Amino acid sequence: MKLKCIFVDESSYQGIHSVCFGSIKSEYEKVFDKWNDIRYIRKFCLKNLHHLQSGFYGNISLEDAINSIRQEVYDISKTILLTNNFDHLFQPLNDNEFSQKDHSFSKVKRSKKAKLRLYAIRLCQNTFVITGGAIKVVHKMKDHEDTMIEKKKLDKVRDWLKEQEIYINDDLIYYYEQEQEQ
Amino acid sequence: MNKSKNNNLIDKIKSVSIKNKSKWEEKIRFRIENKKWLDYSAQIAMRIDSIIEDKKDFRQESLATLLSVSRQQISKILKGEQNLTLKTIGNLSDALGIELISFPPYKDTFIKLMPTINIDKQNSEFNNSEFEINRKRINENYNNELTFVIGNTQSNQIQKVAS
Repeated sequence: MKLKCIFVDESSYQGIHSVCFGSIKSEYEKVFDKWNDIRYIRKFCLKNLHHLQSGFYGNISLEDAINSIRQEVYDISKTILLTNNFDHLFQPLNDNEFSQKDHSFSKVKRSKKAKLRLYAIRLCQNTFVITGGAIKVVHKMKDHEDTMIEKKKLDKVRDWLKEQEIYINDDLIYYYEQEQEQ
Repeated sequence: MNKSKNNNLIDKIKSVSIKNKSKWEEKIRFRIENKKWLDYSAQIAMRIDSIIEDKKDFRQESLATLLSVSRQQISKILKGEQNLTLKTIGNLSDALGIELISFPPYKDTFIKLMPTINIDKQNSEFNNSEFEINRKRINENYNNELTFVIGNTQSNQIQKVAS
Protein backbone atom coordinates (compact mmCIF):
# COMPACT_ATOMS: atom_id res chain seq x y z
CA MET A 1 0.00 0.00 0.00
CA LYS A 2 1.22 3.51 -0.85
CA LEU A 3 0.02 7.09 -0.69
CA LYS A 4 -0.28 9.42 -3.65
CA CYS A 5 -0.59 13.21 -3.66
CA ILE A 6 -3.77 14.31 -5.37
CA PHE A 7 -4.17 17.97 -4.38
CA VAL A 8 -1.39 18.69 -1.95
CA ASP A 9 0.40 21.89 -1.09
CA GLU A 10 3.99 20.95 -1.79
CA SER A 11 5.43 22.84 1.14
CA SER A 12 2.89 22.15 3.88
CA TYR A 13 1.73 18.75 2.60
CA GLN A 14 -1.79 19.77 3.46
CA GLY A 15 -4.52 18.70 1.09
CA ILE A 16 -5.82 15.49 -0.41
CA HIS A 17 -3.76 12.34 -0.56
CA SER A 18 -5.09 9.00 -1.67
CA VAL A 19 -4.19 5.41 -1.12
CA CYS A 20 -2.92 3.04 -3.81
CA PHE A 21 -3.56 -0.66 -3.39
CA GLY A 22 -0.79 -2.28 -5.39
CA SER A 23 -0.99 0.02 -8.38
CA ILE A 24 0.09 3.53 -9.29
CA LYS A 25 -3.55 4.46 -9.73
CA SER A 26 -4.96 5.75 -6.47
CA GLU A 27 -8.41 4.96 -5.14
CA TYR A 28 -9.34 8.59 -5.75
CA GLU A 29 -8.42 8.31 -9.42
CA LYS A 30 -10.14 4.95 -9.77
CA VAL A 31 -13.41 6.14 -8.29
CA PHE A 32 -13.52 9.31 -10.39
CA ASP A 33 -12.67 7.35 -13.53
CA LYS A 34 -15.67 5.14 -12.77
CA TRP A 35 -17.95 8.06 -11.95
CA ASN A 36 -17.00 9.87 -15.16
CA ASP A 37 -17.98 6.80 -17.18
CA ILE A 38 -21.64 7.29 -18.04
CA ARG A 39 -21.97 3.61 -18.87
CA TYR A 40 -20.88 2.62 -15.36
CA ILE A 41 -23.38 5.05 -13.81
CA ARG A 42 -26.20 3.76 -16.00
CA LYS A 43 -25.38 0.14 -15.17
CA PHE A 44 -25.23 0.95 -11.48
CA CYS A 45 -28.62 2.68 -11.62
CA LEU A 46 -30.20 -0.21 -13.51
CA LYS A 47 -28.80 -2.69 -11.00
CA ASN A 48 -30.03 -0.61 -8.08
CA LEU A 49 -33.34 0.49 -9.54
CA HIS A 50 -35.26 -0.87 -6.55
CA HIS A 51 -33.26 1.36 -4.19
CA LEU A 52 -33.69 4.41 -6.41
CA GLN A 53 -37.43 3.75 -6.61
CA SER A 54 -37.77 3.57 -2.83
CA GLY A 55 -39.33 7.02 -2.79
CA PHE A 56 -36.47 8.75 -0.99
CA TYR A 57 -35.35 10.45 -4.19
CA GLY A 58 -38.89 11.41 -5.26
CA ASN A 59 -40.61 10.61 -8.50
CA ILE A 60 -37.57 10.54 -10.76
CA SER A 61 -36.83 8.66 -13.97
CA LEU A 62 -33.79 6.53 -14.62
CA GLU A 63 -32.53 9.31 -16.87
CA ASP A 64 -32.98 11.87 -14.06
CA ALA A 65 -31.06 9.65 -11.64
CA ILE A 66 -28.16 9.21 -14.08
CA ASN A 67 -28.05 12.92 -14.86
CA SER A 68 -28.19 13.93 -11.19
CA ILE A 69 -25.28 11.59 -10.34
CA ARG A 70 -23.32 12.99 -13.25
CA GLN A 71 -23.97 16.52 -12.04
CA GLU A 72 -22.85 15.53 -8.53
CA VAL A 73 -19.58 14.16 -9.94
CA TYR A 74 -19.01 17.48 -11.68
CA ASP A 75 -19.87 19.51 -8.57
CA ILE A 76 -17.60 17.49 -6.28
CA SER A 77 -14.70 17.64 -8.75
CA LYS A 78 -15.05 21.39 -9.16
CA THR A 79 -15.31 21.98 -5.40
CA ILE A 80 -12.22 19.90 -4.71
CA LEU A 81 -10.32 21.87 -7.33
CA LEU A 82 -11.40 25.27 -6.08
CA THR A 83 -11.46 24.86 -2.31
CA ASN A 84 -8.63 25.46 0.10
CA ASN A 85 -10.65 24.38 3.07
CA PHE A 86 -10.94 20.61 2.97
CA ASP A 87 -12.07 20.54 6.60
CA HIS A 88 -15.18 22.32 5.39
CA LEU A 89 -15.71 19.96 2.46
CA PHE A 90 -15.40 16.76 4.50
CA GLN A 91 -17.66 15.81 7.38
CA PRO A 92 -17.54 12.99 9.91
CA LEU A 93 -18.60 9.63 8.53
CA ASN A 94 -20.95 9.19 11.44
CA ASP A 95 -23.88 11.60 11.10
CA ASN A 96 -24.09 11.83 14.90
CA GLU A 97 -20.68 13.48 15.07
CA PHE A 98 -20.58 17.17 14.44
CA SER A 99 -16.90 18.01 14.46
CA GLN A 100 -13.89 16.63 12.65
CA LYS A 101 -11.47 14.79 14.84
CA ASP A 102 -7.99 13.74 13.90
CA HIS A 103 -7.77 10.34 12.31
CA SER A 104 -11.52 10.04 12.10
CA PHE A 105 -13.36 8.49 9.22
CA SER A 106 -14.71 11.22 6.99
CA LYS A 107 -16.88 11.60 3.95
CA VAL A 108 -17.86 14.10 1.30
CA LYS A 109 -21.63 14.37 1.02
CA ARG A 110 -22.75 17.43 -0.88
CA SER A 111 -26.41 17.51 0.17
CA LYS A 112 -29.02 15.60 2.12
CA LYS A 113 -30.14 13.64 -0.93
CA ALA A 114 -26.66 13.35 -2.48
CA LYS A 115 -25.90 9.88 -3.79
CA LEU A 116 -22.13 10.20 -4.04
CA ARG A 117 -19.80 9.60 -1.16
CA LEU A 118 -16.06 10.09 -1.10
CA TYR A 119 -14.52 8.35 1.91
CA ALA A 120 -11.38 9.47 3.67
CA ILE A 121 -9.36 9.42 6.86
CA ARG A 122 -8.51 12.78 8.31
CA LEU A 123 -4.82 12.85 9.13
CA CYS A 124 -4.77 16.32 10.65
CA GLN A 125 -5.99 19.81 9.92
CA ASN A 126 -6.99 20.18 6.26
CA THR A 127 -5.28 16.90 5.35
CA PHE A 128 -7.12 13.79 4.22
CA VAL A 129 -6.34 10.39 2.75
CA ILE A 130 -9.03 9.29 0.31
CA THR A 131 -9.74 5.58 0.61
CA GLY A 132 -12.43 5.35 -2.05
CA GLY A 133 -15.96 6.32 -2.89
CA ALA A 134 -19.36 4.93 -3.75
CA ILE A 135 -22.78 5.76 -5.07
CA LYS A 136 -24.79 5.34 -1.88
CA VAL A 137 -28.42 4.42 -2.38
CA VAL A 138 -29.10 2.86 1.02
CA HIS A 139 -29.33 4.39 4.46
CA LYS A 140 -26.67 2.31 6.21
CA MET A 141 -23.30 1.39 4.75
CA LYS A 142 -23.81 -2.23 5.81
CA ASP A 143 -26.93 -2.43 3.63
CA HIS A 144 -25.10 -2.40 0.30
CA GLU A 145 -22.16 -4.41 -1.02
CA ASP A 146 -20.36 -1.36 -2.46
CA THR A 147 -20.47 0.65 0.76
CA MET A 148 -19.53 -2.40 2.84
CA ILE A 149 -16.39 -2.72 0.73
CA GLU A 150 -15.65 0.96 1.31
CA LYS A 151 -16.03 0.53 5.08
CA LYS A 152 -13.54 -2.35 5.00
CA LYS A 153 -11.12 -0.18 3.03
CA LEU A 154 -11.38 2.57 5.63
CA ASP A 155 -10.51 0.07 8.39
CA LYS A 156 -7.66 -1.40 6.36
CA VAL A 157 -6.10 2.00 5.57
CA ARG A 158 -6.44 3.15 9.19
CA ASP A 159 -4.58 0.04 10.35
CA TRP A 160 -1.90 0.58 7.73
CA LEU A 161 -1.45 4.24 8.70
CA LYS A 162 -1.00 3.12 12.30
CA GLU A 163 1.63 0.60 11.23
CA GLN A 164 3.47 3.33 9.34
CA GLU A 165 3.23 5.61 12.39
CA ILE A 166 1.59 8.23 10.21
CA TYR A 167 -1.45 7.94 12.30
CA ILE A 168 -0.43 10.43 14.95
CA ASN A 169 -1.77 13.63 16.37
CA ASP A 170 -2.67 16.93 14.81
CA ASP A 171 0.76 18.46 14.53
CA LEU A 172 1.63 18.36 10.88
CA ILE A 173 0.82 22.04 10.69
CA TYR A 174 2.72 22.77 13.89
CA TYR A 175 5.70 20.95 12.45
CA TYR A 176 5.44 22.93 9.22
CA GLU A 177 5.21 26.22 11.09
CA GLN A 178 8.25 25.31 13.15
CA GLU A 179 10.14 24.50 9.99
CA GLN A 180 9.19 27.83 8.46
CA GLU A 181 10.32 29.70 11.54
CA GLN A 182 13.72 28.06 11.57
CA MET B 1 4.16 17.22 22.27
CA ASN B 2 6.51 14.60 20.96
CA LYS B 3 8.62 16.71 18.67
CA SER B 4 10.85 13.93 17.40
CA LYS B 5 7.74 12.12 16.26
CA ASN B 6 6.45 15.23 14.55
CA ASN B 7 9.75 15.94 12.90
CA ASN B 8 9.42 12.71 11.00
CA LEU B 9 5.82 13.00 10.02
CA ILE B 10 6.17 14.64 6.61
CA ASP B 11 9.15 12.45 5.87
CA LYS B 12 7.11 9.40 6.77
CA ILE B 13 4.31 10.45 4.47
CA LYS B 14 6.86 11.05 1.73
CA SER B 15 8.49 7.69 2.35
CA VAL B 16 5.23 5.84 1.74
CA SER B 17 4.15 8.02 -1.17
CA ILE B 18 4.71 7.14 -4.78
CA LYS B 19 6.57 9.72 -6.82
CA ASN B 20 4.06 9.90 -9.64
CA LYS B 21 2.02 12.99 -9.09
CA SER B 22 -1.65 12.74 -9.94
CA LYS B 23 -2.73 14.48 -13.12
CA TRP B 24 -6.19 14.85 -11.73
CA GLU B 25 -6.06 18.62 -11.52
CA GLU B 26 -5.57 18.82 -15.30
CA LYS B 27 -8.40 16.36 -15.80
CA ILE B 28 -10.85 18.38 -13.70
CA ARG B 29 -9.87 21.60 -15.45
CA PHE B 30 -10.49 19.86 -18.78
CA ARG B 31 -13.92 18.72 -17.59
CA ILE B 32 -14.86 22.20 -16.42
CA GLU B 33 -13.71 23.86 -19.63
CA ASN B 34 -15.42 21.26 -21.84
CA LYS B 35 -18.54 20.59 -19.77
CA LYS B 36 -21.04 21.44 -22.51
CA TRP B 37 -19.91 19.00 -25.17
CA LEU B 38 -19.07 16.35 -22.56
CA ASP B 39 -22.70 16.58 -21.41
CA TYR B 40 -23.89 16.18 -25.00
CA SER B 41 -21.56 13.23 -25.45
CA ALA B 42 -22.89 11.59 -22.26
CA GLN B 43 -26.50 12.07 -23.39
CA ILE B 44 -25.74 10.38 -26.70
CA ALA B 45 -23.80 7.58 -24.98
CA MET B 46 -26.73 6.86 -22.63
CA ARG B 47 -29.07 6.53 -25.58
CA ILE B 48 -26.75 4.27 -27.56
CA ASP B 49 -26.21 2.06 -24.51
CA SER B 50 -29.94 1.81 -23.97
CA ILE B 51 -30.59 0.93 -27.62
CA ILE B 52 -27.83 -1.66 -27.78
CA GLU B 53 -29.12 -3.50 -24.71
CA ASP B 54 -32.54 -3.80 -26.36
CA LYS B 55 -31.15 -5.25 -29.55
CA LYS B 56 -30.38 -8.92 -29.18
CA ASP B 57 -27.19 -10.07 -30.87
CA PHE B 58 -26.17 -6.46 -31.39
CA ARG B 59 -22.98 -5.75 -29.52
CA GLN B 60 -20.30 -3.12 -29.55
CA GLU B 61 -18.50 -5.18 -32.19
CA SER B 62 -21.51 -5.00 -34.50
CA LEU B 63 -21.66 -1.25 -34.16
CA ALA B 64 -17.91 -0.98 -34.72
CA THR B 65 -18.24 -3.03 -37.92
CA LEU B 66 -21.17 -0.96 -39.17
CA LEU B 67 -19.29 2.28 -38.58
CA SER B 68 -15.91 0.91 -39.73
CA VAL B 69 -14.25 1.95 -36.48
CA SER B 70 -12.43 0.00 -33.77
CA ARG B 71 -14.17 -1.56 -30.78
CA GLN B 72 -12.06 0.72 -28.57
CA GLN B 73 -13.52 3.70 -30.37
CA ILE B 74 -17.05 2.48 -29.62
CA SER B 75 -16.05 1.90 -26.01
CA LYS B 76 -14.88 5.52 -25.74
CA ILE B 77 -18.13 6.74 -27.28
CA LEU B 78 -20.12 4.70 -24.75
CA LYS B 79 -18.18 6.25 -21.87
CA GLY B 80 -19.50 9.64 -22.96
CA GLU B 81 -16.08 11.15 -23.32
CA GLN B 82 -15.77 11.39 -27.06
CA ASN B 83 -16.07 14.67 -28.93
CA LEU B 84 -18.29 13.27 -31.66
CA THR B 85 -18.48 14.88 -35.07
CA LEU B 86 -21.86 15.47 -36.68
CA LYS B 87 -20.83 12.87 -39.26
CA THR B 88 -20.25 10.26 -36.54
CA ILE B 89 -23.56 11.10 -34.87
CA GLY B 90 -25.29 10.73 -38.23
CA ASN B 91 -23.60 7.41 -38.89
CA LEU B 92 -24.50 6.16 -35.41
CA SER B 93 -28.13 7.18 -35.95
CA ASP B 94 -28.26 5.34 -39.26
CA ALA B 95 -26.59 2.24 -37.82
CA LEU B 96 -28.95 2.10 -34.86
CA GLY B 97 -32.03 3.15 -36.82
CA ILE B 98 -32.94 5.90 -34.37
CA GLU B 99 -32.39 9.64 -34.06
CA LEU B 100 -29.84 10.43 -31.34
CA ILE B 101 -30.30 14.18 -31.34
CA SER B 102 -33.26 16.45 -32.00
CA PHE B 103 -33.52 20.14 -32.67
CA PRO B 104 -35.54 22.47 -30.46
CA PRO B 105 -38.12 24.81 -32.01
CA TYR B 106 -36.74 28.23 -32.88
CA LYS B 107 -38.18 31.58 -33.94
CA ASP B 108 -39.20 30.50 -37.46
CA THR B 109 -41.12 27.54 -36.03
CA PHE B 110 -43.64 29.96 -34.54
CA ILE B 111 -44.09 32.22 -37.56
CA LYS B 112 -47.37 31.00 -39.02
CA LEU B 113 -48.20 31.67 -42.63
CA MET B 114 -51.77 32.82 -41.95
CA PRO B 115 -53.78 35.40 -43.98
CA THR B 116 -53.08 39.04 -43.17
CA ILE B 117 -56.41 40.50 -42.07
CA ASN B 118 -55.51 44.18 -41.81
CA ILE B 119 -54.80 45.17 -45.38
CA ASP B 120 -53.97 48.73 -46.11
CA LYS B 121 -56.09 49.73 -49.13
CA GLN B 122 -53.58 52.39 -50.02
CA ASN B 123 -51.05 49.65 -50.77
CA SER B 124 -48.91 50.03 -53.83
CA GLU B 125 -49.42 47.82 -56.87
CA PHE B 126 -46.43 45.79 -55.76
CA ASN B 127 -47.99 45.12 -52.37
CA ASN B 128 -51.28 44.16 -53.98
CA SER B 129 -49.57 41.63 -56.19
CA GLU B 130 -47.66 40.33 -53.21
CA PHE B 131 -50.95 39.97 -51.37
CA GLU B 132 -52.39 38.00 -54.29
CA ILE B 133 -49.46 35.60 -54.16
CA ASN B 134 -49.87 35.21 -50.42
CA ARG B 135 -53.60 34.66 -50.79
CA LYS B 136 -53.04 31.78 -53.20
CA ARG B 137 -50.45 30.27 -50.90
CA ILE B 138 -52.75 30.62 -47.92
CA ASN B 139 -55.60 28.93 -49.83
CA GLU B 140 -53.33 26.01 -50.54
CA ASN B 141 -52.34 25.80 -46.89
CA TYR B 142 -55.97 26.15 -45.87
CA ASN B 143 -56.93 23.17 -48.03
CA ASN B 144 -54.14 21.19 -46.45
CA GLU B 145 -55.32 22.19 -43.01
CA LEU B 146 -58.86 21.23 -43.93
CA THR B 147 -57.67 17.78 -44.93
CA PHE B 148 -55.93 17.52 -41.60
CA VAL B 149 -59.11 18.58 -39.78
CA ILE B 150 -61.21 16.07 -41.69
CA GLY B 151 -58.85 13.36 -40.66
CA ASN B 152 -59.35 14.19 -37.02
CA THR B 153 -62.99 15.17 -36.59
CA GLN B 154 -66.43 13.62 -36.90
CA SER B 155 -68.54 13.96 -40.04
CA ASN B 156 -70.94 16.67 -38.75
CA GLN B 157 -67.95 18.79 -37.76
CA ILE B 158 -66.39 18.18 -41.16
CA GLN B 159 -69.41 19.67 -42.90
CA LYS B 160 -69.35 22.62 -40.58
CA VAL B 161 -65.70 23.25 -41.25
CA ALA B 162 -66.07 22.70 -44.97
CA SER B 163 -68.96 25.13 -45.24
